[in-house]
Amino acid sequence: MGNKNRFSNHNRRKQKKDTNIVLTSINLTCAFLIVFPIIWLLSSSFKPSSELFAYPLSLFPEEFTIDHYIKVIENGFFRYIYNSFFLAVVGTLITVAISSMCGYALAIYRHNVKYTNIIFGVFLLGTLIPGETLTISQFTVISELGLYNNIWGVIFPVVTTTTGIFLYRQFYLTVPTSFVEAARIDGAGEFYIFSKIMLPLSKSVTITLCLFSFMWRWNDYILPLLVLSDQKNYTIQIAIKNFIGANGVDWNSILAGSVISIIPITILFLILQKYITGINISSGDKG
Amino acid sequence: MRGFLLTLCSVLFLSFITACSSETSVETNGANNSEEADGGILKILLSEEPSSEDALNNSFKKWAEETGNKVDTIVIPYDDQITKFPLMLKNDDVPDLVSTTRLTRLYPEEFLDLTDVVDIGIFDQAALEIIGQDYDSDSNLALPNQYTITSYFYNADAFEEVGIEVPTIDDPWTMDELISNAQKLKDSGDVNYGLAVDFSRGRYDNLMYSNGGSITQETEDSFVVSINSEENVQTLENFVEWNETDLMPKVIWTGGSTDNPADYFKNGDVGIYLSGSWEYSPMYEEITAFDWGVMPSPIGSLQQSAIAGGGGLGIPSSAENPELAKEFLEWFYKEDNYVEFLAQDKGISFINGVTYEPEDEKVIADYEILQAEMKNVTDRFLVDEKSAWRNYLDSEYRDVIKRAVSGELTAKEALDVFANDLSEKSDWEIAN
Repeated sequence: MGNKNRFSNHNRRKQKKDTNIVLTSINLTCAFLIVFPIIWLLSSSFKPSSELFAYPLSLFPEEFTIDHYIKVIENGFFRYIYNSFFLAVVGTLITVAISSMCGYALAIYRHNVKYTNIIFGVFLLGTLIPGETLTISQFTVISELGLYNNIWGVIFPVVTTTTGIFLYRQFYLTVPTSFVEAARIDGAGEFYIFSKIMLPLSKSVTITLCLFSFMWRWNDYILPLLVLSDQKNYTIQIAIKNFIGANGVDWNSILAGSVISIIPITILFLILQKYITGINISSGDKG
Repeated sequence: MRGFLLTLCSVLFLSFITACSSETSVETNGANNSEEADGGILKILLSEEPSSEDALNNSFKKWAEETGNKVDTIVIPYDDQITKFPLMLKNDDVPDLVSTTRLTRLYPEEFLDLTDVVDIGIFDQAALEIIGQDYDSDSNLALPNQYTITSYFYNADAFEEVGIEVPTIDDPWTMDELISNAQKLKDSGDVNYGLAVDFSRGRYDNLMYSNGGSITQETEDSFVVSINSEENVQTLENFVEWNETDLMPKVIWTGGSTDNPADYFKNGDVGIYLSGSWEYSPMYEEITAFDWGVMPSPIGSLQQSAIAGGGGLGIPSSAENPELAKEFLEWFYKEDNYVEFLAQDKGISFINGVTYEPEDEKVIADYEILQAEMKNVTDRFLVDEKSAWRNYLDSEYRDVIKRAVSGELTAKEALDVFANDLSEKSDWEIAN
């Protein structure tokens, strides 16, 4: 009997170990598939143009050069990064402010104002309209407001996002209304309750939305292209596309520019990733 | 600790870019554009970020230095100009000078007639017409700044290795000889592909014209569509076969890659490369691993064929500083300035009787071949240009060729599809 148990335990341990090996292998393979193009991008950005498309392909440059980085930096690339950064940070701050307040109102006042769910339904319906179809009307409004060739003309049209409102609303629905009622009894005003109690509780949603919003603004191409017409105001995505000409593509500059452009996003993700994991944990607890 | 380090890194990085952007801004204002300019500020629209060797951009800089004016360049990617330019017009925010290959054709009413700005008689008339693309009026909306001709580049080392003799202006190859030699090059293993052709109808059409085909034909008072003629179907079938047999890099013409065949050639992977004279200067700067050269276009079943093209400078009628733009044009076409530009550009001269003397013997020999190709611009090409068929359909033509190469359609089906579409859009009948 003892031998049988030992044998059974040994089998279970072996099975678990095998499963771990398989799962770890799958993880490593997936990680490799995700990271490899980035490594290739990084490595290629240090290759001279003659090596870029040379066969047989080689991962590492035979002749290491930073000339392409110097070239894009001399072309004023940091100016474009600065513009993109300003656009992304300011746009994200406004997006978070609007989304959190709107989500709070739609969730907390749902018992007091009977139309809140209908309004939320209208917001959701808006997501069914492809963004591209709104571009012309957005641009017309921007022009009429005198925001053409102005960085604010790129920021304002996209600060409201249904995704953000949805995230906050769904989160605040899980918070017991007794929190709010208790604060009201203690004499707290609505803005105080929102900013000092509810917003800190939704930290994980805020971080997630910040990350997404930053990425949306950072990678946006069409709207900045349409609105901005002064090279000094250009964003990084337009600057990278400018290396594609009618008769050829300056791949070296595109690669160097792309590497520079992913640095801020990478840093942001490294800082914020633990909070994204956190949203699942805290959501689970509240359920 | 880890969080602190990351935060510190990010703060340092952001401080760095902010500082650098400020520095760049100051430099840019000093060298490129400034509100404190002594003279005026000439706002120029370009279609790609100019390199330090860019001849036109260097001309702008020199003009600014000499005259005390400033230049403020704005780059809008070539593909996006059609979207952006109407918006600039709508917002009364057009540049003073536009370097373009098509905006003057697409928006003729928005550009000034430059006939009286400089002496039009100095220009090669063919260049003026081809670049201006305006065959219906006497106005000149774009004056040339780049005149190009399609050309065949060859890998001289691979030719020597296989024992292929380079054709000459007086004794060009036939198309069959070109294909046969391209096959030899491929079979030798010295190159991966015997032939490569840019993913552009402007290069493919040479095969069509040299075999006697054309996209349109002129009638007494209009045009007819002839793109699906027998000779054109045969040309496309041959082209598909060269791709099928890997004589050419099939991935280019199936649209499966954004690779530029110029890079293949520069790496020594291609024996013969059909591109254009605008590639000469970059190749001269970049190819050091092997010898290469330019050879005459081959004779198809009817003739040799080369396609001329290029870019021009136009002044929008609603520009803020049209006089400054005119001032630049007058300066640019003065002989000394033009010759200096041409020497950097290494392009075809578009001013009669003015050329430059290359110092390098190789460049002299190649330049002679490039210049000689001008006589191979066919009447069929000029008729197609005159028809302005691209005002009805443009990239759709290359798309149907792509579909034929990828095997989605047969050559005949592909050209029939395009002929019907073009006929429907243009109201031109299909030729029998």
